[in-house]
Amino acid sequence: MKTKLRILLWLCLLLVSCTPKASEQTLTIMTHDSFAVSEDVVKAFETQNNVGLVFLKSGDTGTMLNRAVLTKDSPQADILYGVDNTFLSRAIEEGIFEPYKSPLLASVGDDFKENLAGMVTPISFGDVCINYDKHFFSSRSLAVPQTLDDLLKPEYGESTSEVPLLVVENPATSSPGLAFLLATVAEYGEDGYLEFWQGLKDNGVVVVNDWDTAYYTNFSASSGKGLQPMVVSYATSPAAEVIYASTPLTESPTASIIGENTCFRQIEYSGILKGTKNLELAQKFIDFMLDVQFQEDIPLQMFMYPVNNNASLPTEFEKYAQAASDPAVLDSTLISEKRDQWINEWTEVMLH
Amino acid sequence: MDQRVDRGDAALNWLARWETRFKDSGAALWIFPLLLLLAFFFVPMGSILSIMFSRTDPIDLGQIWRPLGFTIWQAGLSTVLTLAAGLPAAYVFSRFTFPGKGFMRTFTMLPFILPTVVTAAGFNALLGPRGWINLALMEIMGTSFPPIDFLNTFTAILVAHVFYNIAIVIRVVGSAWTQLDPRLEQSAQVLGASSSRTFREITLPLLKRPILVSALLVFLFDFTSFGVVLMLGGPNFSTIEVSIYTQALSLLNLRMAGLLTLLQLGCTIGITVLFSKASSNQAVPLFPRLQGEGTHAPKTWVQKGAILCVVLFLFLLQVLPLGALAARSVTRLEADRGQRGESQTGLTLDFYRELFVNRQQSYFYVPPVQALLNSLFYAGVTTIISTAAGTLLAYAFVRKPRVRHWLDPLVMLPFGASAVTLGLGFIVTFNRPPIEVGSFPFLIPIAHSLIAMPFVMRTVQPALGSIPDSLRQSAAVLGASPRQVWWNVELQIIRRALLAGAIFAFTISLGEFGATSFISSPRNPTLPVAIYRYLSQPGAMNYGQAMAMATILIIVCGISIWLLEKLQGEKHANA
Amino acid sequence: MQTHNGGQMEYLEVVDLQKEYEKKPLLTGVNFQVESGETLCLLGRSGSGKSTILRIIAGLEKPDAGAVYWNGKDLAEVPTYKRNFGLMFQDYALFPHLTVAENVAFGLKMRGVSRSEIAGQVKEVLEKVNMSDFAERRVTDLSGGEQQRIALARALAPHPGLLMLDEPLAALDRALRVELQEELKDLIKQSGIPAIYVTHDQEEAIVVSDRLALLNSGRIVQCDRTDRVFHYPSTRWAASFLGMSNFLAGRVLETNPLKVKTDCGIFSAWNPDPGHAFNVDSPVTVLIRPTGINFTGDRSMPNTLNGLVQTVHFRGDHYRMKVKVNSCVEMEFASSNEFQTGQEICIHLATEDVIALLD
Repeated sequence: MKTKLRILLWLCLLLVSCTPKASEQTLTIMTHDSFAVSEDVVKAFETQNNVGLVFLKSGDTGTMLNRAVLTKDSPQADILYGVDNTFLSRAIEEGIFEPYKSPLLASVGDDFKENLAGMVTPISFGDVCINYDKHFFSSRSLAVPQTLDDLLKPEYGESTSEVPLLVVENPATSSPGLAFLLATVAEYGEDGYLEFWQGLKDNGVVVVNDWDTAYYTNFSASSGKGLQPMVVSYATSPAAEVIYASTPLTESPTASIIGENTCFRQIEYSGILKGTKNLELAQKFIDFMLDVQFQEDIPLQMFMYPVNNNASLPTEFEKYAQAASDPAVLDSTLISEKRDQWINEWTEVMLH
Repeated sequence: MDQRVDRGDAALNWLARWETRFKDSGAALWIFPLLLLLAFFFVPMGSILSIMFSRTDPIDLGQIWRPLGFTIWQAGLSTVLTLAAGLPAAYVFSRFTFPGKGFMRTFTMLPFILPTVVTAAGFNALLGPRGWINLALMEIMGTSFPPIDFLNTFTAILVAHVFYNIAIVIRVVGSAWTQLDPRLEQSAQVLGASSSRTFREITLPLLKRPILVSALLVFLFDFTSFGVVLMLGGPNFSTIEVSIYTQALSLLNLRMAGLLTLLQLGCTIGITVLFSKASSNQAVPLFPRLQGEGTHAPKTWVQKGAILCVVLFLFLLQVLPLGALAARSVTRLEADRGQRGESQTGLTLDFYRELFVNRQQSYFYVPPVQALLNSLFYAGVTTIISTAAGTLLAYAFVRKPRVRHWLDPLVMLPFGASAVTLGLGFIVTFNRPPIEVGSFPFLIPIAHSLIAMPFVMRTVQPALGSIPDSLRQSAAVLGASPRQVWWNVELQIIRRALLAGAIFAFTISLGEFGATSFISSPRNPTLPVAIYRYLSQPGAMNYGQAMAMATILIIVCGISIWLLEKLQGEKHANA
Repeated sequence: MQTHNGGQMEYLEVVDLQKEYEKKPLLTGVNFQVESGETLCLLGRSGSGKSTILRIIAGLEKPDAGAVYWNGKDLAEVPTYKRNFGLMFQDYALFPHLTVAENVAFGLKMRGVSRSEIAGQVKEVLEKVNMSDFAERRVTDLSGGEQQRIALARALAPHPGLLMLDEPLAALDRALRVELQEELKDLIKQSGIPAIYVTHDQEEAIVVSDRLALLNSGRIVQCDRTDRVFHYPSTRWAASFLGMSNFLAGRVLETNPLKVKTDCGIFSAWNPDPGHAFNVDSPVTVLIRPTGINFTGDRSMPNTLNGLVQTVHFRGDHYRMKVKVNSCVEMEFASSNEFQTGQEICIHLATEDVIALLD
């Protein structure tokens, strides 16, 4: 009998020790998997406000959003980071946010402040562009395509080069894939974009399901050494190729095509989750994210651009990455309304 | 006073009756696994499904049939191919000893631990447009166009499935084959049956059960296969699981996802029941043998040829892609860079060194040693939980066969459950301390155990069923208490099956199947998570580090499995 | 039961079989013959290679050297399934997924016998082994003795030319064994098939066999009619194996007739192998048989020893006693009469009772 009691006691102790300690005050931020930040920046906020930061990585944007929506009655975090303009309206509709308007929004350009509904704050942006293999084009003395229409030309098609030169991602399963689809909608309009895709298909294009496969298997200028010299990726990818090169490089092997409407601008937002118990702290953190220290940390951690006009870019970005001057932009409400339909239409044309 | 005693007596009687009923039903055995299932599968599944169906997203029934048809087709074909490839290998491993056998046996388990991203990279390194085989062929044939078009094809899906799952056939059927009394086949031969007739009339019927068991496991894995179809098959192929993924996470149509999930679960039950009926209940007692007994060196040229073929095939299928991966982790293969012209190659350990450096001072930097230890910790706990639960189930099924009818399909359900839905279910259910997604350290191993448990159960059960009562009884007569009987007699006989099940559990956990990608703890990241992180950014360093980490994962896992197998002391008996 | 060849004489000849096991010699030259109508028993210790010999004859293993002839034909190129021999394993090896009838029918099925024919023959065989009611039963439900009978029926059903039994009764308890020994012997005799019976149990060997072959160190040490082997073991090993221990060291005095001088006296001795010649003055070990000794004579007769009874044990049908002989050595004898401890007796040894051992 005694041994049984003893065992029971130990079990209880074990269970108790398993519960997290609620001694220190913490602020929890739910992010997607691509979120990254420097240790110093995190520490800065923690020491300034005497709080511990906890980051809840929750998969890709879609998974994260599902998670936030499904737990909105008892939110698992104080702040949500990483909902982008393709999901924005849906997120706001689901009513998961607490309204907040940061004073630092004054330093942010107007382009980023549309459709905020007083609920979310833009933090960063990135352009999804076609990256190309410089060596491929220079060695064949082939001009780099400048517009979407150029992609339909035969010299960039299968007939000339035996393999399709462009690889794109499936918009149903890939975020950059969706972004590129939206760029074509912006360029050709809702009635004309399918024609473009049909033309692209006839000229020859490879479709894969995710960015990983596209970049590391199909793209010829990456370590995967694939066959396609053009891939839908990010405007910052050429900079990453230099920063993460295994031998020091003075020039990036890739660059982006940044003609009008060839890139799609993705904006990432953050919002305070409704039901948070740390409203004040959460607001402070939103402000912190808009402030220069955090904003200047974004490029080398997340390979996105800061929205704050006062934030300066690292030299690698200035040298090797190019933000599009005329990116394709679509109203986020429209996107939210029509994206399912566009994805289905695209699937019909391209995959069936 | 008397009344109280009477009432006390009546209460005790009632308790005693329930106690006997409890004991009779064998519930003590299966209650723990059942509770595990209920709490960590049925409850989350139930909650998320009810949430999904309470939403008003549009449903398009037309989108169901094609994925369903394709899913069944590719799973069926993959299973047939896996059996066709695995049975000769099982035969060779169970009957012969040959140099390199231990290495090959261990190696066949390694694909289990690889995240699909890494497998895709491995196959790409080998068979991609600029993979080594294509490069070699282009040299030989003098073309500039890679002759082998492997990725994004149906073939890639099939090959990857065989690559992953052949170990199941080899181990499940192989272990039953070693237990097969060779004297049965010899009797048949003496009675006039040629080798092929012996195989047909004696060997195959006796192996029917393990073959069907392995086929069931392989089929269900292929049925719910996600990463392989997504990344190696490409956008032209859509299975139910991929559809659930797109519906839930991209189109945010949870209701459709819920419908597809139910469909998947229904198919799982149907298939499990079908297989049970086909492998009709008679437990064929196999004579328990010591490890290694009955194996001998090959004598005839036909036998040697068979071994060579099998080893060569396994080498091509599994060792080469993994080797290609490892090779990429130490090779600096720059793509044709503008100013360099030719691709620069060279061996380097830079990628490994870089793993230990947090160059960007990222808050989320994962030191590889810690990630490794986290992975091993989860794998260890999973092994313990699932081995215990699986063995209890095996005992329950052997001692009380009637329990099987209803408990067996339930136990197999996690196999057929959509990882996406279950993951979301975890998030919804385990929302509060102490069991909270992200902070409760045992949630991940428990989730892994849901899949590993049926594996252990299915490997231990035949061994258990093969123990004749006489063995137990003689030990008892010799003075052994029930516990001693168990420890000294039963445990020794099922030890090997237990170990096989444990190894499966270990590798499944390391490979982080399905739902756990939703509930991984940011504070205790595991190796696969770290690998994903490196591969989600461009740059040769990132790619190289991902390859390096994957190689570390492979080596550590290989060593662990090898150690585990040494634990049971292989005895090589010759002739 | 029909004989295989319609009454013709069949015989098996094993010539100079040699085999190594794990680099050590197991069989070093085994020679023997078996013919129709006789049961040869291979008797030897566990691990002496008896089962291996059967497996070589069946074709399941190949010898390193030597040959097996069946009716004069070398079986080296004949695969197992064409040899038409019957083999019964120690643990029966019944096919667990088939019923009793299906097990028994297996050999007939392999020979392409028609289904109706099979049914009839299976019935016949099952009757012979008293297992007719068990035809549809699962073999896993049977007791040890029942399984043994089915195994025998299975081996006999396809009318094999030769029957081999590898310790068929070893797994059974003693009472059952004794009961089945006689049955087995009768069944085999009825069938007329030559049979090789392997065992390590001497008493079983006595009951079952017509001829006995003793196997030691990879060779057949003695092969003869069973009663002759027991009465006249020809080597020291054979004698020890058969439980005899009355050895005397001595020297050959004369060779024709054979006379040996030992510490206990000079005896006329028996040469178990007429082909073997003893040399005068060579050392020789002599065995005093423990059985069939005449205790009723008196001291005046030649070849008589004085004995002092030390212990007497009752053994069911005889008495075993330890006797101090000529005050020099202790010997064991079996007698149907009861003697008392301390009694003085006369041990009268006929020439056949004193065996000059060959090694």
